[in-house]
Amino acid sequence: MKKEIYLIYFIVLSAFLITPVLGVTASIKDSSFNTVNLYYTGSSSSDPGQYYLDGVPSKGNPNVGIELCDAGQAYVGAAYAINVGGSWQYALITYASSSEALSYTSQSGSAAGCYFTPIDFLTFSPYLYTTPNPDVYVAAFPGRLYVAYETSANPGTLSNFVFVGNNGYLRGSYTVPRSFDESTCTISISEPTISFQYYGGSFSAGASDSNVGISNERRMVIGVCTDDQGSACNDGTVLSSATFPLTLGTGLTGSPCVNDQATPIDRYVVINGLGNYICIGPNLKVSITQLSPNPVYYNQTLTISYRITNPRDTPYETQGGNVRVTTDFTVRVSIFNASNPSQIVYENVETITDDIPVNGAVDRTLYWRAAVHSGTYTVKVEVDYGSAIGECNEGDNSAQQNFEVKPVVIPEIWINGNKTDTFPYPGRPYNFSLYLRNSDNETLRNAYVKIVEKNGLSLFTPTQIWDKIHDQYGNKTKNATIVTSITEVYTDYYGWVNITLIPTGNRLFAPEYAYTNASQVLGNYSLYLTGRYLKGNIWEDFKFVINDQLLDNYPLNIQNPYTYKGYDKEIAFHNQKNFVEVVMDFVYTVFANFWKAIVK
Amino acid sequence: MVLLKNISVKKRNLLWIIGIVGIVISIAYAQNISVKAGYITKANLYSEISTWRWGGIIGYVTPGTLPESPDPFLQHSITAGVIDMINVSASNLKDGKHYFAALPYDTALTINVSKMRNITENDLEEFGIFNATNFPIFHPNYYQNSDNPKTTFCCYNETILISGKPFTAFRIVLKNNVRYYLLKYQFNDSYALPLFLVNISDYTCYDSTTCQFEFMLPADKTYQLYVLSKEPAYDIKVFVDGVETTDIPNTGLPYNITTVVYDIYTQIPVPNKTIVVFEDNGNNIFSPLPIISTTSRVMAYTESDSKGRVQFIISPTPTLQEAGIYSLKVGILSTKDIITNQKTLNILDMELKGGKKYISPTELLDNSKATVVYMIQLEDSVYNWAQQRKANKYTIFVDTSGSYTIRNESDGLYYSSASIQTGAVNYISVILRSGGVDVPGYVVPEETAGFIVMNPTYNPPVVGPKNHTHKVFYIPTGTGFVIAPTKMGPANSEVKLYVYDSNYYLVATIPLYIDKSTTITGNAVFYQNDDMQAKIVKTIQVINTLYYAYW
Repeated sequence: MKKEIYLIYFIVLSAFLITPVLGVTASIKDSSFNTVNLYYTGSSSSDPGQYYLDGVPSKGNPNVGIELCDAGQAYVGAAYAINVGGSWQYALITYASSSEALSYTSQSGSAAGCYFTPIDFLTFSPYLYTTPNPDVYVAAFPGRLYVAYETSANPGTLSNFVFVGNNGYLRGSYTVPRSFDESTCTISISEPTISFQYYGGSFSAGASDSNVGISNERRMVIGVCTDDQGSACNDGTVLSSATFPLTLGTGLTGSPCVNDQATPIDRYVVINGLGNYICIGPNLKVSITQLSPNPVYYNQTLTISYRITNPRDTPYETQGGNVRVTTDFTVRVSIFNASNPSQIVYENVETITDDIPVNGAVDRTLYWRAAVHSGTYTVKVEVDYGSAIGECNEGDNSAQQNFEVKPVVIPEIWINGNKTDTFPYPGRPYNFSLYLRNSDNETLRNAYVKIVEKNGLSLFTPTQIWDKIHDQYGNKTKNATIVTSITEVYTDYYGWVNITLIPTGNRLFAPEYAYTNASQVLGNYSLYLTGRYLKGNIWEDFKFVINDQLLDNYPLNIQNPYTYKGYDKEIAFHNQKNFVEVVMDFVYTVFANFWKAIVK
Repeated sequence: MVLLKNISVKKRNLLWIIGIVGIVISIAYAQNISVKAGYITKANLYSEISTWRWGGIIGYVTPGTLPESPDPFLQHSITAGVIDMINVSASNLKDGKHYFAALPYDTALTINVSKMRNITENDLEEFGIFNATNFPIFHPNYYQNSDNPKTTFCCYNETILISGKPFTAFRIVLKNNVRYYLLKYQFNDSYALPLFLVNISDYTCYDSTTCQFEFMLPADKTYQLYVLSKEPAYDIKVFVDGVETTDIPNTGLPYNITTVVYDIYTQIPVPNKTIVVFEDNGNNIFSPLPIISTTSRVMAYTESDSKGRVQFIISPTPTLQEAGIYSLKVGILSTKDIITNQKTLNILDMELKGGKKYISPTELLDNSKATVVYMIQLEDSVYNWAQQRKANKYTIFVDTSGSYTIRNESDGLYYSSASIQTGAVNYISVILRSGGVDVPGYVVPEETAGFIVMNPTYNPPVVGPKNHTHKVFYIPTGTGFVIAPTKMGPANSEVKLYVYDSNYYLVATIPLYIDKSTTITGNAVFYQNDDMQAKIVKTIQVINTLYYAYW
């Protein structure tokens, strides 16, 4: 009775045992019990030796056997294998003889509890054999192996496997494009490229290669698994032809079978025991698509555009991007001093409510007025700032870019003691005082200043317009004198310029002289100042920002440009006695001479 | 004069011949008759010159070979009163075991011993086998003609063997003790003819010269002349992939060679004969170093089954380089190394062109695949040894008394035995000495039960296991040679060296222990030979061709 109870207990216990049995190990070893990783014996896709045959020392492969430990003596063979939902799928690639699939571990192994096959009764097969049961296929591809251990040489079906792993493998690797489809919850596997490692080199070929690719004789075991060796797979098959793309299930169920919060999910496309990782999940990425102008001048508006994407990580999808984003998430945009990130001058957090499909994108733009001290700044955009999305790669969620803020010149002008940049009338002198500083509040010492009047009145060349013949046919165009008066002056140490200025104006531009078409021929009248100053050791041209526009010239205005009106009272002017009066007397003389010349 | 391949014929007038040389035919055992009509003697030949119903053949065997065959080697017409002298190149048949036979038939006919019958007195009666239809020359008045066949042959019985079968013949003894026999050849129930037989031997003939056979035959008939063997005589039919032929299309590809050994006179298959397919100077693993003037021979053999049949999977191994010295034959292995009834198999194309070629059924194909894989492993190991320029090296000193000692060249010490490695370059030199002085001799290395490329199966199903032997004949002592045993997996082969003196008398048999490890050990010493390397590469090419045939 007690025996029966034990037996029932044993049967029940056995039913819950899952192969491979823990503790059992297997290795591929030579006769000295050294672990052997076999080389491919061909050296190109057209050479002889398109297999992993042992016992060919010139190809780097010694004769090998299988050592099985902690499973007693058994009949063993190496296989490409995967376990799909508890069911093994495999291609046996060793044999004992032409009629026996598995080799018996008749010899003692390298340690207690280990047993070894005679090396010349275990062959990594270069052929398909159908006499043994199960069939034996060509050891044709790189892989990490499983060892099957059974109680007879020809058991028909193999059911006990142990993963060999790094204790003897077939050298080489796979490059396999793969892609997750969230609508079908499957992984599509494209044709792998196989890298065969032979003794002294390697070569690559596609899995459909007519010589070294998959065929009925050269089978490939492929699956989608939760581990990288194939012991726990969701789906899989043994390929006897290169039927790619191959679609395999992921074990994910429901509708939808995956969402952007339950991710990422790890899977492996396992080919002959070699895992190729694929991440199932979205992967938000951000890029700054516009940052202009750069440099931006003080008080200009900086435009910041960025794009949030969910790119499919083609062709391997180790970074995911294969699940759409439907959950709201935030984006933080900050601007800080590039050399001192803690000095944040701007920060904004925005919630993105748009769905982002696979390979989809969302664009956003924001504006920032650069009212800061000049220098190098960084704009940084961080997506999913609140970590609402389960992404395959959380490390690529930000983008940043540097830009430069430059200072502008801020002139302070006094005209006849009034702080203004507008002259009431042309044609009379003014006390013109100019103080220059920049937006960093630095006084522009010894700065070079040009005060320019274009198309004003000139004693040297009074404004003139006439017809000129410009070709041999007698065609005429307007010719004219364009006169520019430039006053060059330097600020003093304190940033000041004090001079007498007489904006001359030009009534030819007045409506009553419109018949002269002066504007069309000469251009407009203008009065402005410009210049340059030393910033550090570099001369910087004056830049002005007026009404958010960056200007090289600072305009001076004349309130009544076509009215010449004198003063009602006596006024003293800068440099009057020594220069202004004297020079104006010269001007008067020139004026008198002109009229003497034309009036008798 | 008629000239055939082995025969020349001169016609002489019987009177002239008899007058000169006196071919006198008598009956040795006709004790009651000395000179009597029907018993042809010199006298009655003279007296019955105008009525002679017989003619004759005097035959001379000249040096040459005439094969045993059921087909006639000569068709010859006999004219009354004329004796023809015939030369036949057939010295191989002068062994006391063969007859020449004459059958009165107008066209070439393949003779069949199963149609031969004992002769009876009744057969010699007027309506017997010498009836008026068959032999009008004796009719009418059959009994009144004193030289009628009954008078001539009746009735002394003697049992003779033809192809091992006993027959009761009427025997007469021609002059000079030429035993002359008469049997009946039964075409069918209603038609039979006499069959005349004579031993091939040396006889003193008409001019005191030696002749080898004589025939006395009814005149005015055409005869087919045959070779008949007292012992069973065999031939081998060869079927290549099921087609009877001795032509094999390509080298390096597998063929089903089925041989059927049969009695050539009965056409009956012969069981339990050892049929061998052997290849000389091909490409194989065991002897990777070609030695001039020696023959490297691999043999696959087994006994014929109850149907006289043996099936081999044969893959010829020559390339164009070996075309001049290569041969592939089938034969009967009678005693050790003696192969009779050889038949050459012709390789029509010795260029290694490759291509796919399967054998069936599947289990046989798998057996051959596994064998090819073993051979790839073995040859690659040999290649590796050669590439590393390494060899196990021994010098064996053999005394003509049979004793020997072995010097291991890696340590210079002497041992009583030597260990060589499978799939390795094992360089051996044998020195034959007599009283401490070197004397000429030969050595024949032999591996049995190993792998041979020519027969790429090992204990195969369906076609049955074959014995494998690889020998190299005869390497002069003092000449170094290389052997690469093929002991691996199921092939538990053995290697022996046979040492002969200059008269090919066996002096010593030296077994060598084979280590199954192919690893190059510290026991190996430097050895390089370009001829060997080239031969190894050639063998690899042949084995690879075979590999891809099955792919």
